[in-house]
Amino acid sequence: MSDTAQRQELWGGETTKAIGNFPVSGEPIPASVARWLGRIKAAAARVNGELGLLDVDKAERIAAAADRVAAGELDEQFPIDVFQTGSGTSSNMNANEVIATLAGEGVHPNDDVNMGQSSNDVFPSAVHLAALDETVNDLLPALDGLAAALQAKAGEFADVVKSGRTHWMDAVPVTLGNFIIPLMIGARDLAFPRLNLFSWYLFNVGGAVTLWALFTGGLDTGWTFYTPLSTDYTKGNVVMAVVGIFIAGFSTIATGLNFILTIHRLRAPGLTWYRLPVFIWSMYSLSVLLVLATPVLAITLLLLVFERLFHIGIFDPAIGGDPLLFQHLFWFYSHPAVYMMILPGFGVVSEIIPAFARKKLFGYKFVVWASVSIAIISFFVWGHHMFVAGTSVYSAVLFSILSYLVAVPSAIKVFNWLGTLHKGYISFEAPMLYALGFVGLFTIGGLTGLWVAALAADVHLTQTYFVVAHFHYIMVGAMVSAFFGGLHYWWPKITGRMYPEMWARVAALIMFIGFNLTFFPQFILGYLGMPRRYFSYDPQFQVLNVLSSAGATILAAAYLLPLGYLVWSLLHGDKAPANPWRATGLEWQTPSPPPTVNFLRTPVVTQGPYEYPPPEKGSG
Amino acid sequence: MAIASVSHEFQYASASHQAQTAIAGMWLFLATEVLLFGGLILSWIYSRHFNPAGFDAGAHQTALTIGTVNTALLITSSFAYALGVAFIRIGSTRGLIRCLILALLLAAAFMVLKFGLEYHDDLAKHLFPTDTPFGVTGSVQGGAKLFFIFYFISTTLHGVHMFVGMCLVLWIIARARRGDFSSAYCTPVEVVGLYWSFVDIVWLTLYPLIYLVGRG
Amino acid sequence: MASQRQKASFPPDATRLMWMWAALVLLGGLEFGLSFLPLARHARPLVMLPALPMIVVVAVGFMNVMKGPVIVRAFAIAALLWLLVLLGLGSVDALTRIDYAVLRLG
Repeated sequence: MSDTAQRQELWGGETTKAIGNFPVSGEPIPASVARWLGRIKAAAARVNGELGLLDVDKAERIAAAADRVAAGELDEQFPIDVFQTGSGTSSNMNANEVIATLAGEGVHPNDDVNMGQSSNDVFPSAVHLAALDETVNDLLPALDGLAAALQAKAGEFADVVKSGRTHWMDAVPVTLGNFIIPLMIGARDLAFPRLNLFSWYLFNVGGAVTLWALFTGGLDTGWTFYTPLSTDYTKGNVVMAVVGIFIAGFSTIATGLNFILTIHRLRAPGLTWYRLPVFIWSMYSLSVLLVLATPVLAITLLLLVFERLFHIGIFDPAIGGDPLLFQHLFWFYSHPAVYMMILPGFGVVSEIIPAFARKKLFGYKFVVWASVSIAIISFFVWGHHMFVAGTSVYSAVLFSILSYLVAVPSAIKVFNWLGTLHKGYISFEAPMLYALGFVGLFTIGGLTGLWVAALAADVHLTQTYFVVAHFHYIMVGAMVSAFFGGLHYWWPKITGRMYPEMWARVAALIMFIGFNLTFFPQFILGYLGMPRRYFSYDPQFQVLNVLSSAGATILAAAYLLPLGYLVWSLLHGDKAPANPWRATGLEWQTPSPPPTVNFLRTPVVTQGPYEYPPPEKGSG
Repeated sequence: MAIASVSHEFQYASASHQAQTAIAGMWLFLATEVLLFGGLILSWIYSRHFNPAGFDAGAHQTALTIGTVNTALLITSSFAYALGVAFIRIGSTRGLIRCLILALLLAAAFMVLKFGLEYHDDLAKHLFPTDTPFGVTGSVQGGAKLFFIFYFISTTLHGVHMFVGMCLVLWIIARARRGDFSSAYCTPVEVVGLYWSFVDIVWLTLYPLIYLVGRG
Repeated sequence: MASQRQKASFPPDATRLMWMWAALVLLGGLEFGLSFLPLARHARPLVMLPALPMIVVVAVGFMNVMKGPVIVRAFAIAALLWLLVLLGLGSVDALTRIDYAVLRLG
């Protein structure tokens, strides 16, 4: 402290002028550049002395002073702003003056310290040498240290299996879809029953292979399999996992194909397209996605496996390939995939709300065409997963605009559901509780989707917990609620038993509370900057993370409850009538559970869906 | 003259209802195949766009004669199958079988030329991407390797589809010899025919991409 | 069944199918010939143009896309449209990327 107080300015008039001339940023030149100026000056002085151009004594004194600058003892003697004109002339003079002062009597800054030099050479040399110095001695060792730390961390988690992407896309189609679609359209079976069975076998085989891959070696690429990690660097079980997914993908395609043909060709007499329940329209839209997007995933996985097995491939930058091509192909499937997950939810909720509000669905055609539009537009938005991946900005802007477009039909549906509830005669059975939860949680999830669809905002929010919270509000908050709602709604039809209503309502409420407690804090975490896919975090995020974990425990209870009472109902539940909810729809016109041929007599349809009697006026 | 009543599955209203559904189902499956090969075409676009000189340098190494002969073989095979369908529609099982055998032979010739002769030559010229030394050298080597990655993957995938198709055609021939088909019922013949012609369409797309475009 | 076999020896469709085959061979020859034109590198894909009518001929002539239920045509058009979306929208990134030159050392 006393040293610096004693040390006055060692510089001279030129430097003083320059300080006054460049009040630009307040940032002086970096210390390393100043030190390299010192090294250059020391070397120049020694050479000049050896060559006899400079008096040997002066040369030694100059070199000694310059060495002190080089050692970093005089960093604060270089105050000129880094934004200065000339090629560093001012800082060169700064060095000359400081060294001259330190060198003692008779040393002239320009004639002696700067002998044989020009700023044009000295300053750029100092800058380049300083950059090289810092890169080699600071940056590269730091990167090595980072790599080692990451390696050690990866080793710590080598045995941890993380379930990333769940197969919620399959939950409703596989269960409710296969069972309810033929019933709803008055058909006796799907169009291709043997294909359906084959699809079921593929589903199980594919799932088993993928799980086997996860448990015997793991997969650190995550479900997105980005190259070149997945093709070249990871030691995980990529090939086996990909083979499992490939097989399961064909199960998906087969199911989608079956649903489309069934809905086109096996509708009961009189069941025109505009008389179909929205569940069917939603499952149809879903099937379009299944059928057209999944094959692109199939070819992408093939290309991935080739590259991994042969250590060379179409995504390999070493031969001019583009790793981003993998992402384009992958997300071309994976964005429609998330709409595959939610469309059945739209359908289920569109059945439940009219039934428990005893009112026709508001704006049927809007809801129908909104579902179809979502299916189509969802193919145009995949680039929003790649905003920071390195695609062209023009491409990113285009995808951002299209992503805003896809939100519109979803919003339309929300208004239609609300319109259905308005002036309805609402009762709060468990399916309705789940459906209402769906509407609220989907709205939050959908709105936050718009935030991440905005290109500029996404640069900050991407790869943080904000995105995680957004898609969990849709996938878990909305879709799982819809799944449980549909499960409870059609449980009597499928099993012929009634579930215990009180327990179901309790479970629905617990799920709503647990879900929000788990995922709402994650919006805040993401906004504050906590990255996703991180297992440990800064202490400032502690409280929110703990809240989230507590919520997850409550959510787990909400999932276990239905497991308990639904199984109980299979054994001890009341026998269900054909139409316990007094709902419209062909599936309620047949006994619970239905006979093998679904309908003993083919029904004939003469009216639209949702022809509920109007709510009685004036009654409680 | 009694028209044999064709049975149908219980969820269908009539035999023709089921037949038309089966045909529509195959068309939808073919739509999925368009997307499958579509991903490969996108990778062709990207590879050629970012490595124009190298990609075309690879294309120059392809066997134009074999490729062109193969295209003619597949066109004729597709024609032969369609003729077979026309025969069974007028009730001629014999005509059907003969046409399908011709289609099968032409396809077999394709397979021999492609995988027996052409692949053999490609490998002899060290054109498989992992070969060291690789058949194309210099600054264009990277792009040429990309080309041959595309070439081997797309032709193998097409070959797998051809093989499946040939098995299906054999199955149809076997069923025809058992007398399963008539002018009233030939849906499986038509459905397999759709697949067979589609595999031809895939080749008609791959042929210029591999043999013609880069040859300038 | 036996009487039916002797009835018509050659299908009426055969002539139409042979014209289709001829068209395919002609178009194929045209495409082959086009490939010898000295086109600039970015124009070379035009060589593929004859492949489009060839595909139409196969789809219409051999696969009978215009006969059969309406959904057959809907599926075919959907396949084409989605292929165009994949290739078109997918290429936007490649075509609009600005390539910054990378300094290669040694």
